Amino acid sequence: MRSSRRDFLAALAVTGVGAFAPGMPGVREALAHAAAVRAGVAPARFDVLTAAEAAAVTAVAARIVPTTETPGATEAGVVHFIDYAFGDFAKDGLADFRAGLADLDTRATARRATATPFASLPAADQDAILADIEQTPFFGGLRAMTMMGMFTDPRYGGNRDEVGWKLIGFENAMSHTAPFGYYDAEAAKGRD
Amino acid sequence: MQAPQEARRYQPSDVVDFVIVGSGAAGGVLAKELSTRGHSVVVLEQGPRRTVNDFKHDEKAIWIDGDLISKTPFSWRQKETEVAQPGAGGLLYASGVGGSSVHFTANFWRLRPVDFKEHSLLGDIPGAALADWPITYEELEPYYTKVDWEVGVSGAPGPTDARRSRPFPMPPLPVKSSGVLLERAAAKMGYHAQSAPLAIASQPFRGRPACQHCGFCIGFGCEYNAKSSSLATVIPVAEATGRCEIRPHSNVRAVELDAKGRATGVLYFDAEKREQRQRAKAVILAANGVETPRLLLMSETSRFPNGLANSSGMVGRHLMFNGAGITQGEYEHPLNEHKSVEASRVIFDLYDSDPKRGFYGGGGFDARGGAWFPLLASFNVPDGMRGWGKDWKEWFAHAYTRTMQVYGHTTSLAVASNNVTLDPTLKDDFGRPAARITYEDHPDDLATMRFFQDRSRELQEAAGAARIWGPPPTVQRGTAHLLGTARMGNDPRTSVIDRDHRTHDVRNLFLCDGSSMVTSGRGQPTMTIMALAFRAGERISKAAKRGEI
Repeated sequence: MRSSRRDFLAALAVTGVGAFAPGMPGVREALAHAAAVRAGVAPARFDVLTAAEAAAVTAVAARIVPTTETPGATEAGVVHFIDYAFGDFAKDGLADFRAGLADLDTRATARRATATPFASLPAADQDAILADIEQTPFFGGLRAMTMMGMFTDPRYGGNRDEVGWKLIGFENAMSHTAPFGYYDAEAAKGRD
Repeated sequence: MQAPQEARRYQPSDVVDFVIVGSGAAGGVLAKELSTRGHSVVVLEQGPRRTVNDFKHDEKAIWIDGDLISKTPFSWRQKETEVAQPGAGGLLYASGVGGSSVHFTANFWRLRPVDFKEHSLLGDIPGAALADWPITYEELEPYYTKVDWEVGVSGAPGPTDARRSRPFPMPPLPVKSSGVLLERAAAKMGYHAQSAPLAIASQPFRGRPACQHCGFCIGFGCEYNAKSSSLATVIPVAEATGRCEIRPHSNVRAVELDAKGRATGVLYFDAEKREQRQRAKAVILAANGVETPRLLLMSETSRFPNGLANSSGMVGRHLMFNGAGITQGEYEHPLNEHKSVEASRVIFDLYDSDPKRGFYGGGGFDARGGAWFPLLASFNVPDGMRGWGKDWKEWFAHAYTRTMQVYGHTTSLAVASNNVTLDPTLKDDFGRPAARITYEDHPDDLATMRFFQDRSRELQEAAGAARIWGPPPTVQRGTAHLLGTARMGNDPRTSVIDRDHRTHDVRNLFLCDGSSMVTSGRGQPTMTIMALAFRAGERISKAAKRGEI
């Protein structure tokens, strides 16, 4: 995956989120939603996803960023970000996304021989299915959406209590003061 | 910010001295230079006017929605024989008052004397149109100094820097951990690391506050006005003259000419998409290296069937980007590269092209976070690592604060088949033909990128990186540097503008922005674009006062 900013949009296209978000329009419509989140009125329901879809998204996101001794996608509320996204900047990709979720259930059923939703499989089976599809645009897009739900501003419904930022040590502050890290701190000591 | 109360308003029917298309690095400086010299000026800007209060720490708004960048459609192809595809590739230029100087990283390297005369030094490069500039570093140096002091640049001179006539007006920003590691690596490899020159205030400067090290520079608007954008610096000076109007939401369709071949103004769509005609005694296009040639090509008439000011056939040709050779390195202890400015130390030891390498090209390094915002960073997965699951999560939680890039910024050669033309079918919301980009890096440019990536890897190793990764350079499909498409030159057969930025074909039409550049430099073009604009503003004003326009 590329690291420079100019490749980022291209990277999104590669990962598949481009398929979900053609044109990537603005976020103005989201501000009412954002205001509700800021006011602590966290969404108790889903605006776009059905309950079954929300369960599947929650399950996949929890395999992409699992809950360990530290919070993962579930604690971050990634599913709420994704619900918001498919009602907003990614809405043109909703049909493809739903087809991908249906495919997950088909694959789950194939493993179990009875009708089984992906979300009800043991984690190891879920991981095996996801490994089979990890090169697909659907998985790439869902990974991208999961990262957005982990690491973008909590105003969009994910990254609750900034758990994504706390996980990686990102300090979202309006100002920092030097020294910023270990090596400049050590160098400053040497110069004093 | 809204325009100040006293800012002048003109009617489109007023014949102003100058109409400038674009309010970015060049347009903002030109507006200031011309209005402070007594001329009446209208600046037409395609995007909105924003204030510091509109800028936020919001990675989604910037990197997913692209709130600051132009949404004008374009198409892209690698070779002229291909059909260009809409939306393929990325042109990341900003839309709004201040242009891309609002969202840039603010690395402010000067060109060096060698950049202006590489053709004389190196001769022809097969497959390229390498040419000397019609001006020298010494001619541009006073204007680089104006940028330092009037716009605001922080830094300290390095051992191989070109002559500067005045010191930096502000000391460097504090060194970051990446800078300390680059210094360490440079010492081991026999290079010299020096303070990165930045268009960011390291201390209060001309009424603006010092940088607060919040870390949201690259791609973002500065929430403190510490970044020295046109919006924060020269545009308020222009408006305070009472002779300059900045008119946002103005999308220009064509430059108009009279029967004698003189420009009479421009046609544009206003905020309500109504067509307006701004009349002017002279027209200056400063719309960037894609939009300026696009506008010239859109201004075709029976008198200029191949586009305005294009008797040479050079309008839109020689599109250059700047290349990159990058590695990512992970270290034992936290660097916290998400804090403060992007880069604090640079290396220029490999700046010049060296024939012994077997290919043309040169560059400079910096060590930086690398747009290391949480979301973007989550897409940067080391080679061979599965980018999801428990192992990735644990790695990312550990490594986010411990990585840096060593970024080699490299040359792009002028190649005639890399160009901006008009797409035959794709149109924008105003019915204007979209720009069609054709771009494939010259083989020497790719070799240079690989060479710099190899040196980047060596620098990471010398700095003690525990893990180093980065994909090999490939043909570029996106950029924010748009250069060379209306090159400056003395010969009207091989260039579009003369050394005063006047088009060879139309006496009162001037071009000044990245399109004017004859060579690409080694990245960081905005410093040079601003210096060119200071010089152009002075010379255009003098010509106007002598009655020579």
